Amino acid sequence: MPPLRRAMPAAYLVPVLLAGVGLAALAALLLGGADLTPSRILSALWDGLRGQTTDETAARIVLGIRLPRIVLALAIGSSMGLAGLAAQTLFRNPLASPYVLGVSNGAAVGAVAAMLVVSKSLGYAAVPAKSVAGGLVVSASVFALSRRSDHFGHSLLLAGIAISAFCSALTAAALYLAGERLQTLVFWLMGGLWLATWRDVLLMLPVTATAFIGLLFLAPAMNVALVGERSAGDLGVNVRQFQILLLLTICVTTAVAVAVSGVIGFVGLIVPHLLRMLLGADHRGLVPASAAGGALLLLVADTLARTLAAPAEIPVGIITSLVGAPIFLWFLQRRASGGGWA
Amino acid sequence: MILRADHVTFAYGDGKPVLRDACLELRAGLVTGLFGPNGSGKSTLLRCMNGSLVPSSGTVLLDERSTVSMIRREVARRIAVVSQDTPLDVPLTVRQMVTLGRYAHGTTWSQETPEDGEIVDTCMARLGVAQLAHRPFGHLSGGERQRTVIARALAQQGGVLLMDEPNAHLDLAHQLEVYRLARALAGEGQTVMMICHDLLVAPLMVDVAAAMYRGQIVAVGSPPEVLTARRLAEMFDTTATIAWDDGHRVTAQFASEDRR
Repeated sequence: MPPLRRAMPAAYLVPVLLAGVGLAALAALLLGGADLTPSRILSALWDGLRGQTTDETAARIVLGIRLPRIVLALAIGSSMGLAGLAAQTLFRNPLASPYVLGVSNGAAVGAVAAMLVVSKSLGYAAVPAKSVAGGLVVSASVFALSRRSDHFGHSLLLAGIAISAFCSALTAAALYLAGERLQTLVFWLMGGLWLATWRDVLLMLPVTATAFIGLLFLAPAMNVALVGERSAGDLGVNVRQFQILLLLTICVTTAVAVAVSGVIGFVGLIVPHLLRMLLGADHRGLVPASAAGGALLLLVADTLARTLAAPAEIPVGIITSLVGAPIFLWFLQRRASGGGWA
Repeated sequence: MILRADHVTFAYGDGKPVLRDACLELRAGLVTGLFGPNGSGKSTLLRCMNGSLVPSSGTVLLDERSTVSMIRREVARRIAVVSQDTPLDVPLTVRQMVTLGRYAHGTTWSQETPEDGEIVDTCMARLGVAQLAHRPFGHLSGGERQRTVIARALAQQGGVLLMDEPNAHLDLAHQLEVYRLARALAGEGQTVMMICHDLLVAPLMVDVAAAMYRGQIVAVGSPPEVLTARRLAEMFDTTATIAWDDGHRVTAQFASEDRR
């Protein structure tokens, strides 16, 4: 465990991460399957900002495809970093993530049901609503099952694991019955941003912004929560209210993120964990750092996903998991040798 | 400040009541020791007194205001608790840990103010953990951890300090320091209560003893009045006799089958 005295101030790291986000966004804008020169791309962007169109092809690709995808990747990545941080604080467990709550799987069940039942093709309008509904139903059940317990966080985790398994089974059953749409569903479940539209951005961005501001407010209480439910209450935190707010943040951000991008793994687990190793346990720095770090990681992964095998597209979930799993194992090794939380 | 439990009854879930009509008044300027066997409801009473458990009947009043009606922050600004169950894996340094005691005094956006910093430093110095300021909490010995948690409670600067077996992990010298600290705080006008298991030293150190048995406060008064040989034998179901003389000398006698 890195002793906290070696922790880097968040005031240094957050600007570095933001600069990284800026560079990655520029790279993502310039890279792609379409044969466009950087000057055409930048002038299309400039035209777009002024509300003019001189190069229609470039405008369609830059403003209609790449830009919403970049903004969506940033918004989803941020929300995943934040939801992961909130989950790890809620459970006092560095290995927790929104996935263990079952919210992702619940949202996936909702989305898959929407695709199979409601829409003939992969009609997009019905999917987010059903997915958010699925995620919220799961959150509500997990919450209702555990709220009577004295050890709320603990029972929440157990209920989440059980419901998560239940939802996985429902998704598997749906896939079994999917027939000719099996491939579409499987591809969607792997997670990806290739269908990104400005409508998705409009759905995701307010959720991310709300989660960010909310967690900034909760950051001091998140610090106090490190000492456990009972002591946090003695120190002045309204523990139940605090836990409900964290749970709501996790559930809503995850459900909306799954709705627009499918299940993308590991960002929420790795980003807060890595940042905690660098910054220490102060959530006043971890909240902005997790938002920026999540955004950076997902944008880089998504840019790789659409350029590595261009013009084909690799589901970004594959990249985040392929990169994420080894990093995660490395963390576990360090944890095993050093012990401790961070 | 006066903290008073008034006919408090409490049960966990649908179980049998752990507290039955318990009454206890803690007065400013006095150290009250709460004595009683395991499972008699001492910690539960402490939790009710700081409002973190809500009695099924009865009230807890802090200067005639119900603690249940206060928000947690307000309670934490007035009542500090030293509990027994701080997890070991808290990823904080000693100083960060003690700073958490200032949470209830800060606004949501506040960073640590210079005043907070001063209070934290003073409290660490008072408990002798200032030199450990940058050590990870998880690397401390049991006694150092306990003193850090007490320093955190002092940093809350409430008028009331409730301690659940504060001496549990401390050697004799540090135990005496805690008693000295408790008396000094009481001397400054604070209301101090400590749950004690030690019947040899604690009764000499506290001003008031309260005896708790099967969820009720059965006696309150000066330690020699309350902790009589007969009451101890009944409460602890033992034949050991402990007696004090006026010179604050304590003698303990144990039955032959309990001795070496």
